[in-house]
Amino acid sequence: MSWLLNGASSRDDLLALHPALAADHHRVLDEVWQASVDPRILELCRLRMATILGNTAAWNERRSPAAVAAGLDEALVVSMAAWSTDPGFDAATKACLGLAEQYVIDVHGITDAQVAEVNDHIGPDGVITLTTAFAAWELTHRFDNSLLDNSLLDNAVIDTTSTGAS
Amino acid sequence: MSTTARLPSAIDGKPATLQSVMAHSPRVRAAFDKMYATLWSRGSVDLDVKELVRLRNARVTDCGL
Repeated sequence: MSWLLNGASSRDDLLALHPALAADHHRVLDEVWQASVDPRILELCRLRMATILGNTAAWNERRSPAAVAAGLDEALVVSMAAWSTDPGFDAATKACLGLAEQYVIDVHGITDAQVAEVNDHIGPDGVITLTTAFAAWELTHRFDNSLLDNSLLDNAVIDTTSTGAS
Repeated sequence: MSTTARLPSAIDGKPATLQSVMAHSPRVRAAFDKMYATLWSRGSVDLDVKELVRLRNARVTDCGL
């Protein structure tokens, strides 16, 4: 449910109130998932941002098909709050998750070294894709939190522990 | 906020600016720009209200651009 639209049961139901914007929003996300960045990394970053912003709807929806097809490890999803120390996360994933956390918690705290590290792993095209994805996901998570009823935002247990970004 | 690009320009001979750096991922960026344009050009909210909201958001998030 949503206070904005009776009968709305999802983000898509609400976005349908503005079809042109809905189409553009979907296109942005489609391009992100089809770009060069490993979709497993993208999905972990999306879920990490959802956790920090408290958007349980993002956890309740299906995992990214692209990430699943690429072999997303659900064990890593479950242990994501400990990504900075868990050896299951590789260096590229850690660098990207660190940037994702910093983006949400304190974007002005992002350093030259942090961007350079991510650039070393995924290249400049990846950095642009990743940060544009951050913008799209932050928009999405805040949209959900603002307009979806609590009944769609509960029923998920999320660990809001932040372990990577300062 | 850094006011110096942290990535090189994607366009030969062009300095690193917001546009030339974003060109590293042209399809993603074009899609985002189209969505941004739709936000401004479509819908029932008056343009002056949108601009006030944009400026207020920039103030709150300390966006120097």
